[in-house]
Amino acid sequence: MSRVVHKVFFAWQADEEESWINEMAQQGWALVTVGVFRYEFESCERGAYTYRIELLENRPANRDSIAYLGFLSDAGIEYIGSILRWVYLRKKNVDGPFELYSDLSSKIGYFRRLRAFFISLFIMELWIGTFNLILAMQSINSIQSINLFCAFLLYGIGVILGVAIKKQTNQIKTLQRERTIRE
Amino acid sequence: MESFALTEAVYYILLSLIEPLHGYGIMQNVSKLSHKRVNLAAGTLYGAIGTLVERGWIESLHSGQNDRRKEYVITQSGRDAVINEMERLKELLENGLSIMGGEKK
Repeated sequence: MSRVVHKVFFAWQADEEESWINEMAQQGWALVTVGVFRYEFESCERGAYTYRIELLENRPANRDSIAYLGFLSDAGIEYIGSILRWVYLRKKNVDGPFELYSDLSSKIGYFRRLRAFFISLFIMELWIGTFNLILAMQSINSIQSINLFCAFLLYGIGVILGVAIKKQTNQIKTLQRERTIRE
Repeated sequence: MESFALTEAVYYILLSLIEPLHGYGIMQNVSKLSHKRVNLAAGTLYGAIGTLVERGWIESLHSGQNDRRKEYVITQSGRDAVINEMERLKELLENGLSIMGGEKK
């Protein structure tokens, strides 16, 4: 039996998205296909799988990504699908707990990658937002309000990304402090 | 010569590669050696292998065209690193024993 759910999660909500997908799995629905804001599930045994969403360094079709996904596959980690650099992975719970990183250094490395991604999005939002603001200030007719709206929308997204970046930085700092004591 | 402590993940990975082994085999071997205490996650292991190859402590054996079931084996530099690490661990343990005695938890 299968079902499709439409739900909106943005890039900075990957944790919530992952939790939701895992909750579905706990209820007997395993994610089998992902699309933009679209999730296809197939019924499964309750709690059969654990899912993780990971941001790769490159797109999945890239050679290094293929090697990495192949390596994961040998470890029993199945690739379900992807959106841009985000990949959806799952592992059967009978095989044990599913984490991708088991020590502080590699966790820090991954959080840095996430943060760099948010920073580049942030810069883009600010840039396009400001561009819109300039356009809005220059035109006199009604087009102006569209530019103004876009500017505020983009700045708004920028603020949300700023919060995500701060959160990521705090996580990195916490792990770095921990690393002065142990691995 | 500068000496740095190896992480226990790296130490066990190197020990596992005295004989050629592929990724998943390393994970299982490390878990076995450490009596299930050290469980390498796939992402961590993949990164560590990349770093160790870059350092020249392990090398990959080309098993045909198949990139995935790549096997790795320790190099002479890798062996030296393990020996140095064992010396360091011995020093740590000896000092611990002499100061704490045979105290158990």
